[in-house]
Amino acid sequence: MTAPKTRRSLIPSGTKDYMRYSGIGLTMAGCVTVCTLLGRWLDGFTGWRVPVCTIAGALIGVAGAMAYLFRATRKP
Amino acid sequence: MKALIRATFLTLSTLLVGAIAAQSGAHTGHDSSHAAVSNAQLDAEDVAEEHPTHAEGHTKFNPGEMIMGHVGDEHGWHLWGHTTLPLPIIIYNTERGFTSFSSGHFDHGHKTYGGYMLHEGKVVATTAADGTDAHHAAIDEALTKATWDVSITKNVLGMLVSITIMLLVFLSVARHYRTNGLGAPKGIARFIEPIILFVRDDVAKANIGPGYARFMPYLLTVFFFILINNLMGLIPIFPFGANVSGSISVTFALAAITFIITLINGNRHYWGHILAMPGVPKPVLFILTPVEILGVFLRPAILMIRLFANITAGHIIVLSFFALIFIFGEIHAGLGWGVSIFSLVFTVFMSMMELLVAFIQAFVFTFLSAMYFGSAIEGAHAEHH
Repeated sequence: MTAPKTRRSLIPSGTKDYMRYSGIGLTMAGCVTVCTLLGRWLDGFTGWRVPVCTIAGALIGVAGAMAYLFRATRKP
Repeated sequence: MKALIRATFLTLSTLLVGAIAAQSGAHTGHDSSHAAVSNAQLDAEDVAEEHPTHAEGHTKFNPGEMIMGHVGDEHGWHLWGHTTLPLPIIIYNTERGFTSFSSGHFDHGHKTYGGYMLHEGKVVATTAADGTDAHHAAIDEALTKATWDVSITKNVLGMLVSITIMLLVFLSVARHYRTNGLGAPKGIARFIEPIILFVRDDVAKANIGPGYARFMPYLLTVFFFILINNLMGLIPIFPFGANVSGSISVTFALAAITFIITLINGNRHYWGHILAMPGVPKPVLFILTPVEILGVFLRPAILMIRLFANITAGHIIVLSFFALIFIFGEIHAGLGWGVSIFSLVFTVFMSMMELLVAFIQAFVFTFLSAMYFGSAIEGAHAEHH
């Protein structure tokens, strides 16, 4: 209201980037976790000795996380 | 600096003396006792753990129970010693209908009342008569499933107290501006105005851009709600001290509101980026779109967990330092006294950290909410970074 236009921001300049990247990192972690758990859940139905769905889920999760990372950090 | 070194040295030497005293005490105790005795002791401890009695006499201190009791929600507000403020129990049961009575009837979970009793802190249904010992009454599973507990618990009362404080503060600030105009603020407004300006300029304007004004009421409310509850959680005296912002239900509700506001305000640009990221080859979209949709849900989930974990972790650490005193005190009183100095220093230090965390977490929640709102309403032209 009465603050002058030239008031310096109280937040360190890198805060927004820090938040953005920490959010990207957590989304990647969540992506791998959710895909792996989904695969594990699917493995519950098959009853195979090799947990194929868990492995596939983990790999898809990692691939998705990498794709997300590239997209999210790409500068337009 | 010199004084600090001297104080540190004094603390360490006291600790050492306490430890040595306890060591010698423990050694003499050990030498005279044999395996059979310690076995008997272990058995006694097992019994004490299975049937925790609040009667007089030496009961084993259970740090986990103490810490979780302080961090969690309760149907009664423990004031001091054996004094507990009973809180109203309000239950809706699809078969029995509404029931409401004071939690004092449960006698700290030892008795049944009105067809209900406390089991591990939760209200469960039972068919036993009123006043039966709750430890021997059978739980009626079917009726318990039909029970909806909407009681005013410790956290709900804590929240009501914080809302009252917020109303008092902000109504007085609003009244100040109404009567005095927009001049230099006085009284409590002088304290609040910089914080509101901080949220407006550094959080809302910086992240949302031109359309920020629409989100200001929510951002300010959530900022002050979290801040006041964080600070209240640090005060261990009665109307304060409920772990409201460290309760996952509360943080879930806050994150859910942020989530819903983001979804409602999401424009075509926002949804376009989620469902079909422009400029991405089709095969990659098959992987990317599920991840983006997952991200929509993960963001509020992380918001929820971050606030909950930060606040609860701080409380657990402080309580653990307190518990150390009693854990060591059970081994030997001298050791307990020695550790208490070390405990006190660390508790003060952790409380300072928690004070910082109280502000930081309120800020982070608001900042991230603003970022999500900003991403939901930003136009194609405003894309930067």
